[in-house]
Amino acid sequence: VTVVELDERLRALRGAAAETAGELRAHASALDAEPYEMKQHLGVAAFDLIRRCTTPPRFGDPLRLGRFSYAAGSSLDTLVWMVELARGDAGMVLAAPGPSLAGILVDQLGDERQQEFFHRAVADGTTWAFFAVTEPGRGSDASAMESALTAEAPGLYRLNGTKKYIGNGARGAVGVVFARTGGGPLSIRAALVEAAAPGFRARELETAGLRGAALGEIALADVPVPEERLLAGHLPPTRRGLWGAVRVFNTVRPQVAALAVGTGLACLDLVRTERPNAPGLEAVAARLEACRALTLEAGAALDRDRDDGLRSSAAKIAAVAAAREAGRWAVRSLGPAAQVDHPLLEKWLRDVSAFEFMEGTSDIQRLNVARSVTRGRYRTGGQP
Amino acid sequence: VRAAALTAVRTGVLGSLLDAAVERLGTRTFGGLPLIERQFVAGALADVVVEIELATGSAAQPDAPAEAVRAQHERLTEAGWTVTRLFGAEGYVVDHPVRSLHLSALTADLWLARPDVTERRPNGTEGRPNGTEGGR
Repeated sequence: VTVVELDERLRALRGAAAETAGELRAHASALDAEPYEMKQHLGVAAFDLIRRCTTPPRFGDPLRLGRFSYAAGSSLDTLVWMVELARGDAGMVLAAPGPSLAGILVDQLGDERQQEFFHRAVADGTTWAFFAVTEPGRGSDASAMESALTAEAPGLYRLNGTKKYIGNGARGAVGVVFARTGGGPLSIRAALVEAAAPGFRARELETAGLRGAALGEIALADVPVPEERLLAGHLPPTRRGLWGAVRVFNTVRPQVAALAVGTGLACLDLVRTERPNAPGLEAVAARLEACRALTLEAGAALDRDRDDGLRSSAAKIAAVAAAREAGRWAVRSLGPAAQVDHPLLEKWLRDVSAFEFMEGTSDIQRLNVARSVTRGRYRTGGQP
Repeated sequence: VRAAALTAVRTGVLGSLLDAAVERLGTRTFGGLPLIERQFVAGALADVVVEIELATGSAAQPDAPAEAVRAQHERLTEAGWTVTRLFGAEGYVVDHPVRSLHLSALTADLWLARPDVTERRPNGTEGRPNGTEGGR
């Protein structure tokens, strides 16, 4: 396994993200209290950084630092800034307006007009996008989805179903919704949908933590979907449906690891300030840095091969556990009043639980890793 | 004594949510199989039962040293997390019964004395520190 060395370009990105992280932390408690009161947060520098780094160059103005530029599309770039921003506050990272998960899918599956429609819609810095796969009662089993796209007339579909635990679900103006056009495994398609469409109803879900993600439930009743809003019509049938969702999940999985590592580092920062000689500090720090290294390696692997998700799964398992352990260790290190004296610690302890449930639980990731081993794609001590 | 009482309350809450988890996992399927028949899930259930039995036994030892009591409660917190995971994302919504396991952990965190935490900040600041705002 090669270790990613941060070159000058990535060190500059990491430094720029670290500089804006303190501002995110200052906004974190207010966001946690009122996740839908976003106006007071929209001016933070990190939101601008995130938008620039997640918008393709032809639809926006990429982040430039000196002679380097950072456009959307590189997993490694994304993970470098995401760890540092999450060290400020992961809730604030997920509250950033812009393309987010839906953008990753549209960039991979959308034709030129669909990409332009989507990126124009989220370009103003005050618009969020939803990515709706999960259904109530189905969790990780995306192939069991029941939402349906029914052809009503030539060129027109009607969309029916319910989506739950969707980030930006109740505040997104536009996004993608997955649904079936028939019974087979290849008949799942993704549609660009606007929240203003007739038949689209969304409600907020009040979550215990990571409230900046603004999870919602979306109910779709006969929502009209013109055929030109179905993604991937220009791609072969095998590349139209769940294949795209799986690729998005592969891309996002190490991002969840990055958010977890950042949250663990935030807990570590707090203990380092309050009790610099706390027993176990070096071990917690080393574990989190190992998780960061594995997460970046997972990103580099994805940049080489979008289907190479082994290290993404490993990184997510390790980072979610390490972040929880860092939070528990901080509580033990700072004493009974810690969560009263440090409201952000109390918040981060709620936040870290969320990472377990995003983009596949640890058990699902364990199965992914085990499958890679049993299929001979991984050998210990060497390259797969 | 109050730590033992807290242990009793926490194991009671844990047990009732384990029962609720068993009920839920028997009806939910993944790839056609009930989740409760999956080995990872079954193993997690068994681990929690072991912790409940251990905690019940240790609650009967009123003169256990403080360090042992704290370690016992940390294990109950981990067992609570194991049960929480069995409810998936639906247990992350604030009105779900499994949130009582988070409150159970928070109560133990706030209630149990930690005499080993004696150091203060290097500059001797007392009261409410502002370390959460920086510390990079």
